[in-house]
This record gives sequence, C-alpha cells and structure tokens, in this order.
Amino acid sequence: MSSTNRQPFGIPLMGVVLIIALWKLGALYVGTEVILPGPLRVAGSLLDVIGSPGFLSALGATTLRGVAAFLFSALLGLICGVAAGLSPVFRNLVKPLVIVIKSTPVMSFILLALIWFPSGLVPVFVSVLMAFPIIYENVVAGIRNADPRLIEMARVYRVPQGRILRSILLPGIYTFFSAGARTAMGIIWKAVIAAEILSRPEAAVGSAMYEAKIYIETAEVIAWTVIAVLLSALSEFLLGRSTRLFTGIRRGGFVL
Amino acid sequence: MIRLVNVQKRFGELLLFDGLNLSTPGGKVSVILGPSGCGKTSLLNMLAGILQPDGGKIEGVGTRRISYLFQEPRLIPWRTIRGNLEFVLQGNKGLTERLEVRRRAEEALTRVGMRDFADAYPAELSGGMRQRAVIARAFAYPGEILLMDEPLQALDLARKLDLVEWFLSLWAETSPTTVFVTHDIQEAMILGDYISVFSAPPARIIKEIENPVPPAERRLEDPRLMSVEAELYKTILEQRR
Repeated sequence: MSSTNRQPFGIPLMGVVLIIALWKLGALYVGTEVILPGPLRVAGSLLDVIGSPGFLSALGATTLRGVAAFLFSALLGLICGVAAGLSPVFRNLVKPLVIVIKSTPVMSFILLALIWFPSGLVPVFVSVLMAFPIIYENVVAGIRNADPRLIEMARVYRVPQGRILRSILLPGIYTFFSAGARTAMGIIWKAVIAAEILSRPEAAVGSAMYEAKIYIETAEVIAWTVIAVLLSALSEFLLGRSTRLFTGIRRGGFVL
Repeated sequence: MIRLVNVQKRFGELLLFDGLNLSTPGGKVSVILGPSGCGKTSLLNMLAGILQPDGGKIEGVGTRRISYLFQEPRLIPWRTIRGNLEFVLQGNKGLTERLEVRRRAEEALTRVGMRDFADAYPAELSGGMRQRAVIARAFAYPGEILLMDEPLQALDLARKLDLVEWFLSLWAETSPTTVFVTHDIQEAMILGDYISVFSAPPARIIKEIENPVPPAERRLEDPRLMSVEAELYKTILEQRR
C-alpha cells in the first residue's frame, strides 16, 4: 500500500486532545466532581477500576456476550439474507418480522427478555435483535447488487449453482456484509451494556456502571464508559483487519 | 450447423426479429455484420440460452457446450486470471480433476502469452491483456459452439491484430462452430468464413458472402478481400439510402 493511502495518525490524536481539553474546561466550569469530574480524576478512577478484583471478569463476561451476539447475528443475518436475496418469497415472508424488530423500542425487548431469560442471556438476546436486521439488510442488498453479467457468464459456461453462490454471490456481498457487520458491532456494545444495566448479571461492565451510579461515583461511571468505548474501538479495528485479511480483492479494482 | 427458423423477438415496442431465418455451417466462422441496435447481441444471447425467442425455432444448439466471448471481459474481479479460467472449467463433469483443470488453464494462458500473469487480478491488467485472458477462457473451455460479441471493439488496431492472431491460432486447433457479431467490416473479412449483413430492425439478412480467401491467407491488402470489402460497403450504403 502506498503511503498516500495511510490514514494520518496525528489528526485523530488531535481530536482526542480536543475532546479532553473541552472536557477539562467543562469540569472547571461546573466545578463539582459529582456532576462532572475532570479528566485526571477519571484517569485515577480508571486505574482503580482496572486494578479492582472484579475488573477482568466483568470485562471478559461483557466481551463474551458481545462476541456471542455478534457471531450469532452475523450467522443468522447471512443465512437469512442470502435466502431472502435469492428468493423473493422468503424475502416477503421475513419482511414483517424485520419491520417489527426494527420498530420495537429496545426497552421493550429488554423488559421482555428479563421475563423470559436468565440475566446473563438478556444482553445477548437484545443485541442479536438489534444487530440482525442491519446485517440481514446489507446481505440482501449485496445479493441484489450482484452483477447479473457475471452470473450470465457462469450460466453460459454451465457452472453449477453452488459454485456461482460461493464464487460470485458470496464474495460479491462481502463489502455489504462487512459494512453491516461494523455498524452492527457498534450497536451491539451499546445494546449489551444497556441490557446489562437493567438485567444486572453478576459479572458485567453494565452492572459495574449501575453500581457506580447508585453510589454517585460519577468518575467511575465515566471510567467504565471509557472502557466500553475502547472495547468498541478495538472490536472495530479487529473487524477492519479481518475484512482486509479475508477479502480477495487486491488493489481494490473492479473490472467487468 | 446452427439454424434459426422463423425466429421472432420483440422488446416492448421494438420488433427486433420478425421471422428471421439463418444458417451457420458447423466448424466455420459465421460473421453477422450489422449496425448498432440491429439485434446482434440479442441473437447471440438467444443462441446462448440467456434470452428466449418469442417464436420460431433454434436448431443445432441443444445441449452442446458453448463458449462465449462477451463484449466486456466479464472476469470475476476477486479471482486471479488462473482462478477465472478454473472457475468455468471446474463446472464441467468430466473435468473435475483438479490437476487436469489447472493444466488446461495454464496451457490456454500460455497459448495467449499470459502464463506470467496467471496470478494477477483482472484490475491489474490492461484492456488487451484482459481480452487475451478471456480468449484463453473461451478456448480452455471445451465449447463446441463459440459465440463472439464484438470482443475486440474496445482495442486499438495493433492490439486488435495481435488478438486476431491469437484467436486464429487457437481456433484452428478445435474449429468450433463460431458465430461472431460485429459492425467492423475489417474484422468480418479477416475472421469470417461466411459473412451475413443484417438490416436495421426488424433485422433480416440483406447480403450473404462466402469469404473467397482461406483463413491463413487473409490479409487486408489482399485484392480478393478488397473486393469483398467493396461489396460490403456498397451493401451497407445502399441500406442507408
């Protein structure tokens, strides 16, 4: 890759510095740590949180829930999306379900899940429902955008349907799928932690945030928020890396 | 031999074929020469089974294997050139042996001077090289019928002449029944054993010429071809009036 394609690292760093500076100014203006603690106070709290005995288990459990929700919604979205992309009947059959899932408030799902599932499963269930429609719709769009000229070529050369699916349709939807997966991943972390706050499983970032809120430990709430943001950023980075690893397109050109 | 008997085809208001009859002899290159929009591509698509005629019959295609050189390369962007060839070869029963597939792909690429670019992706190649790869794909596939839809039109003259040379040397080995559509008179003269000139839609044959020059002797400056060229120009100009 040429140096012109590299993302400049300095500019995002300046953005982070700007956020911290504004935050510091805000904290000085408010003047009360209970309402808005300054960055240094939160940094101290962050170190305390990281050093606390329950940190790794909370982080591990939340990560596991997020990853499980992502894998499940990606698999479900991929299978249903391919089926719906290939079959208008299936697409119309699934359409009402997808509309219902998309329009139902996340709180309704959380409350229902609290009734139906053990507390540790609630965040996974809710996150799958949030992420599935995004991945599903991206996969359907990918299939429907598949180049009919390539499919025509394959049919003239009597390439079996399974090979057309594997070699043309699935790689063709990869861009759509990976875009959907990255959006879904971001939503999953938000949904997992929101559901954890309400369901309060034993080990969870959301439960820790809730406890900090109960004791009005604002700095600790922000410290856990920083951890959640870092978790989300790390997952997006890893997903981006895997996209580049798995894609077979070199130098990004498309020629037909 | 491929025969079209009383073929009808309509696209909305446009009546493309209204009882078209056409015969193309086996083991020869039949060229359909005609203006843009006269239905040349639709004719090939009907032969390939991509389009169905509204009426009439197409005989001699049936279950025979078809190689198709499309106007654009239609190479899968995320597969290497070798991978593109193997993609069509592995689709055939009897050709599933992996090594045999690879050998056929490499042999075809070698024949068109593309062996060193077997691992390149289509986007990494020039237009002429992509067309060579596509010719290799068409000949690596054991097609009994070869359809060609102006595959040389986007190339400059030097590249076009190179590709004609590659094409003729490969074609001579298996001599598939070939239908080649073009609007380029010179391509028609160099490649065609038989040349049929189509009218504007609804297309009908307004002239049929058997090329008097054997393929190996065809040069544009050959007086026999020059007289064919004059005849074709005359036919096309008369049609315009």
